[in-house]
Amino acid sequence: MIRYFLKRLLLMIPTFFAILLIAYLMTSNLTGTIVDAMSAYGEGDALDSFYEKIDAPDNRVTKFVRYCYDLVVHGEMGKTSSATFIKDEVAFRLKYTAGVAVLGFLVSILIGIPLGVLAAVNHNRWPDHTVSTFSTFLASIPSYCLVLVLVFIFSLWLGILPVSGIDTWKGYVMPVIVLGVGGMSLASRMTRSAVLEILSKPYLTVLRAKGLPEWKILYKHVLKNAVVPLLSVAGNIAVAALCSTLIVENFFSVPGIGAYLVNAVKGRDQQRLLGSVVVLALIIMGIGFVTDMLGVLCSPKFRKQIGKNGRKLSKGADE
Amino acid sequence: MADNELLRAQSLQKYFYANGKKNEPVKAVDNVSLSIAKGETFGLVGESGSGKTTLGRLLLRLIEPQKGRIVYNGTDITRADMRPMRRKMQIIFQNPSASLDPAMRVKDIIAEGLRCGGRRLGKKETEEAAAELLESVGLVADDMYRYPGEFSGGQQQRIGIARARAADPEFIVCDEPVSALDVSYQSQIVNLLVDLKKERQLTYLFISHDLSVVMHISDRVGVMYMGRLVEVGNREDIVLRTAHPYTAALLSNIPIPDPKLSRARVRVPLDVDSVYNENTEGCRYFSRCPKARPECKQTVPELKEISPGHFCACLFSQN
Amino acid sequence: MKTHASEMKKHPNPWKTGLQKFIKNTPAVVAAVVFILITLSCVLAPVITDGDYYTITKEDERLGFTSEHPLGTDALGRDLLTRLLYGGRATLKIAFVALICGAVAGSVIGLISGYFGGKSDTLIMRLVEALSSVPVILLVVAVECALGWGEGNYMYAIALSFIPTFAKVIRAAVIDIVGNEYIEAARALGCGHFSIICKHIIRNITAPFVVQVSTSAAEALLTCTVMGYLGFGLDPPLPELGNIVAVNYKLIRSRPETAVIPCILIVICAVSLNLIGNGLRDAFSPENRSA
Repeated sequence: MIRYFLKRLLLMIPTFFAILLIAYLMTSNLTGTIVDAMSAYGEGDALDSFYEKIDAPDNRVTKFVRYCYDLVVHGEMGKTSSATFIKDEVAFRLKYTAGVAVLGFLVSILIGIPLGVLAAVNHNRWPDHTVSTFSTFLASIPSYCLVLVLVFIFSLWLGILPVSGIDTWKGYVMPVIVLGVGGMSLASRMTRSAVLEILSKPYLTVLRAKGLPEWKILYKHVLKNAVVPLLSVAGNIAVAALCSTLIVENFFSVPGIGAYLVNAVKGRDQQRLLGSVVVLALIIMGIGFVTDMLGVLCSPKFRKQIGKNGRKLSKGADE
Repeated sequence: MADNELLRAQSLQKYFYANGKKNEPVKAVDNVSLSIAKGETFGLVGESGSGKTTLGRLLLRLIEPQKGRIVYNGTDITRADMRPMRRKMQIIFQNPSASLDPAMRVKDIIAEGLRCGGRRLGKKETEEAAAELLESVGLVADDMYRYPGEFSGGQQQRIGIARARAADPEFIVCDEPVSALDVSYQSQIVNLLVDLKKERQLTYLFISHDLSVVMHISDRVGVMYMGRLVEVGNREDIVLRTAHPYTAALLSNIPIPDPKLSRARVRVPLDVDSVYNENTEGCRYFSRCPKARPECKQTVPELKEISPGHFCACLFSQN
Repeated sequence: MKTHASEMKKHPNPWKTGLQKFIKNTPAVVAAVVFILITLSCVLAPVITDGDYYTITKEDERLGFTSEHPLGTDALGRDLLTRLLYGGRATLKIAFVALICGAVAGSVIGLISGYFGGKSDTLIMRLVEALSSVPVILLVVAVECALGWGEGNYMYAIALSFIPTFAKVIRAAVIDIVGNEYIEAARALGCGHFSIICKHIIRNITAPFVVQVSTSAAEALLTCTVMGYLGFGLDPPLPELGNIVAVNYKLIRSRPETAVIPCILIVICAVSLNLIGNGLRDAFSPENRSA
């Protein structure tokens, strides 16, 4: 168990640096863009040598290595052109992104998973059709359309919520609703198919034949077996919530990582861009790690794959 | 016997390794040698997991052997290119519905057999040949425009036989061809196979776990236990002069529809619990053998000729 | 030959039965008609309109619906109908190309991974898993950094974002097929990998492929418009459904219909694509096919 845990943890390190390297290489054109823009005004020779220096391959490599060194040893991500530390900027913005994403995630799973279970248990009856139609419809609404409708109703018509900004709790309401609607429809669809798969297993027929009441089958056998697939649903929803937060932030001018990312791109700012990539990569890998570990802890099947201890445990559980 | 020998296998071996665990392989086929004469039906029996299916696949090189040699009609085909050999060696599968591509019309399935070995046929020729083949297996020509899903299991097996026959082979591996069928179809299919054999001078390797079917159709019989051949001999030798305790156990477990006869028999229990206590050093049957002695635990019994054409791998064979 | 034709008809291939099932599904058929109408009017935009989506009219002319501007003008005083049709044209094209590229690339990856298995399978699926957890917005940024801005290059990013879905679905389908004995039968008949893949595998993964394409279509469209909205799409003044909404969002207090109309168009497209997808899924899913 602990070995698997450590192995999984160690595997994240090369993954992280691979992501960083790809991000670095892809964004290294951004500096080039600035030089291109400057060369329109500059003198030929001086700029040419500057251009060569910046673009030389070994220069890129040393810069990347230096970046990694600073990141790992000092936990620094460099400075911006206005001499503020990127680390501080990212930390400041992370608060808002994390707040919105976590609330959106909770709303999504707290509503989506029960709806999905309801639909699956009543397969092909009216609750199923209602939930399916509902979630298909919600999945067809792009987030900005929802934003438009919400702003129209709550800000302009009723005047109870601010159009943008996130200074008070009221600012959180609309972004969380937008996130929740998207995540909810995704969560209910994924939950429905996960539970349906369990419901199709023949051992449930045996339990019915045995005369076990339907609610007991549902709670003791279906939902217990659904824990592992539902954990992976939750993991997916968490990543999805984070990804949508990055987008939704921009609609409500929330000063989070997503808005930071978009501004960095629009300002062709490689340092800021890399800073946000580092944070996002760490968070997403963290979510994956946590889901995996919880899955292992909850499932005898997983435990069996891991080691000798696990094997004995699961054999005991089978009997 | 060497004069009219069609197929010879020498010390074939195939171990399967579960997910990278190099240390404990499943010994599906372990040092098996056998020889099949032209025009005979060689029956192969054994319980599930004894490696008889793997052996059948090895002989056709659908699975590559790790060690050993396969000689077909005097040519070594262990490493040879199988394409030209495929026409001569065919296979009929256990599960008729899984062995026919559900998305193909029957005529296309049979055409696959007809085109085997790079033969080219026009559309009309193919249809004529398919019609003839279908009629020869007891179906009607118009069935060729239907899809496999429209047939019953017995009919699907007939299509599978027609496909194997389309290649015009000399040797056919029948891998449990009747085990997935209803009892009423079993005898029909077995009789069909017998008729085809007479008509075309075919040679069969007939694999089954059902000893009564094997005894009905085979000239010679091989008994497999946990990857090894434990007894080989003529049908009469096996039934009347049983040498290996495992064969005796199998024979005594054939159900007999006459209670008086049945009582007269000595049933050797097939103790299922001890199957997995594999004895790696000595005789594999040690843990279940009613006649086991301490020596059996140390020495691997070789397949010895105890009377002409009758081989047995037991240190204390019964006659 | 007569018997052939009649026999073939009596046992139609699964595609025909699936199509018949689809036609009986009223919402899906209505959605298909609506979507085809929208697509046609977008494709025929140069014929329907005068193609002038960039001229800015004077301040006092920025009014509601007139005979000259059937849907009014946008926040900058450009004809909204023309912009919508041209925008729809651009967005539908980009979404379609992105979806097909991603679907084909993902399916090829899934096919290779599932068919050959082993270590390459593990490695490929690791990479696919990693790709699936990258936010689309980051993919768009990365691809546009590498290939250039404002030319619709984000469609490659959206294509990338579809690779994991298709790779997983197709891989699962292929593994299911490879386990069947008819693949072994084909090998016993001397077919090589190539002809097995062409003859058996592709034939049997077409249904899940089509279903997955149709269920992903709405997502492709919506992602395209979101990226357009955020300004990662085509450079102005080129219209695109996403940036039309973004520009007109400013008018939410005075003339909200300029933002609402493109939104309605997008939602109609997405709903109809989803309904078509559901219809195809019900018609071609393996569990329904045998019935």
